[in-house]
Amino acid sequence: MKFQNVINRLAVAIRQVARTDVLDLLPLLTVLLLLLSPLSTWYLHTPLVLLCIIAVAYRKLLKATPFWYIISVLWGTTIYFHWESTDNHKYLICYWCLALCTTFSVAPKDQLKALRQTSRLLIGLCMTLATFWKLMSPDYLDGTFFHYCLLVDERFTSVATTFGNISSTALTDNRELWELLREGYLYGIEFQNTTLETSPELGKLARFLSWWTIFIEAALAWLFFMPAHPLVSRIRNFVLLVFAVTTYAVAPVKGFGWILMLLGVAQCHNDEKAFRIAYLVTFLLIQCYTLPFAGIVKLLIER
Amino acid sequence: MANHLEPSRQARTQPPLTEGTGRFRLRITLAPLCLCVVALLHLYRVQWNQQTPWKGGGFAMFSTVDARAARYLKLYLVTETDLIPVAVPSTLRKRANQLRAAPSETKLRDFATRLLELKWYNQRLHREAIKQQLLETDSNHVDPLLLTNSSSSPQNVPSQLQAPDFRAISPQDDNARHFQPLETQGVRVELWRYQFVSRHASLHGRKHLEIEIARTKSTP
Repeated sequence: MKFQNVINRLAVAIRQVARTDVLDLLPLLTVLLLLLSPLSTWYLHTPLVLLCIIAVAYRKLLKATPFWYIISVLWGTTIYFHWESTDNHKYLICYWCLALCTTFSVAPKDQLKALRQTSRLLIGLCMTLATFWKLMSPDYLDGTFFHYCLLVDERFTSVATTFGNISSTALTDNRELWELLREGYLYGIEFQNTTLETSPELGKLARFLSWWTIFIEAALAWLFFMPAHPLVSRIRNFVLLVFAVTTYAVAPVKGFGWILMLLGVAQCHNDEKAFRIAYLVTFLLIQCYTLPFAGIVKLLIER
Repeated sequence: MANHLEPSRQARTQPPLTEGTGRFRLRITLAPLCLCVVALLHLYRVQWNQQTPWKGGGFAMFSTVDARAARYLKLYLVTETDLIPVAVPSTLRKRANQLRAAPSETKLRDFATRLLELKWYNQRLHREAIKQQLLETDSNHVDPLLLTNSSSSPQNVPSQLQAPDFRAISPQDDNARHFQPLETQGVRVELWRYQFVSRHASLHGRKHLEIEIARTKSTP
């Protein structure tokens, strides 16, 4: 009963949030995203956090062009100094802040339209580049890349053990071998080649993941460059949601998922409230994906 | 006077940008244009500077095994009798990451030179010295400067393996005088890269770049 109450309250809250003006909602959610994505340089991160806190207190700032200009500069400078470790979603966050900056610099009656067009272009370009690099890569189309991820990358453990017929112990052994290949020389264990434990199912799963990802990313790239039409708009919203729900369940990269959902909300038309709600729900779902479900289930069973 | 004020007043009362104007179109495409410029730079760097496609803002994540993790460093201190393997010191971690993300001969030489500038000490012997001091004196009087953080082992390395003996300390560090540094003749830096062969589920490491720098008389 309590759980039901929580769900009901959450649903009401999401509906209320979705009813809020997009130009009020998105800057606020962006500030939340910025606060949850720490920068690696303290002297840039500290002013950014302070600015975000001040903006939350004085909401007028959230619609000010100079505010978003400063945020973009701080964020961009951090990327410039730490390009070697900066993930791609941080670049997208930077472009998004710049988009908010330019949006609030145009006439108020055209701001929504400006934001919608910029967001659509950003999603389209991001998906085009992602597809381009996958097509160009020598080890993607044949499933090599995902096979490697399923065997070595910790983020893929639950998918590999659930659908790939491989034990978590075997995956732990693989990660130890991987680490020893790179760091073993420090412990007097030096080798250049190693064979990892695998299963035939993992190879098939890897090929499926490769083709599914490239198919959906290419579809998104194409849909987001299509001219505006109500049917196209509905299809692209649906496909973007399917992409987020499926991709981030397998590879929980929440920073990327969150910024894509914000861009999704931004490019929605006024009459697409249902999609706006769906994007906000998926925003929360992406956070839920990072919960240690296997551990929770194990804990409940042990109790 | 009135004419002198005219331009600034005009700027203040400039009509807001509306749809259909060139400046409006420029504003809405500014962020996507920045994305394209960075993506082109990324393409160039991947093609010509051996940069990993994963980094640099080209949105090539999850497309290749050749991530930064697939490029790894092996560092050795050259002594009169031995090659001593050492981990990347924390002070050089950023440079090591840059070298791995986009390797080049220049970066490798620069990294090796900086590595050579560091002083190295034997952690195990150092700990034994502390133990000895504890036995000989009152434990409350152990110089806290002698105690440093122990080296952190990589996450997935089996716990039964012993951590490396040698740690770096920068000559500029105030604590440097408390340590007995190792006499080194030079350093050797190797950059390795692995590939994954899906058919055999095997990882194949290959040496990509290497450099050995000897200590000259002028080197501190």
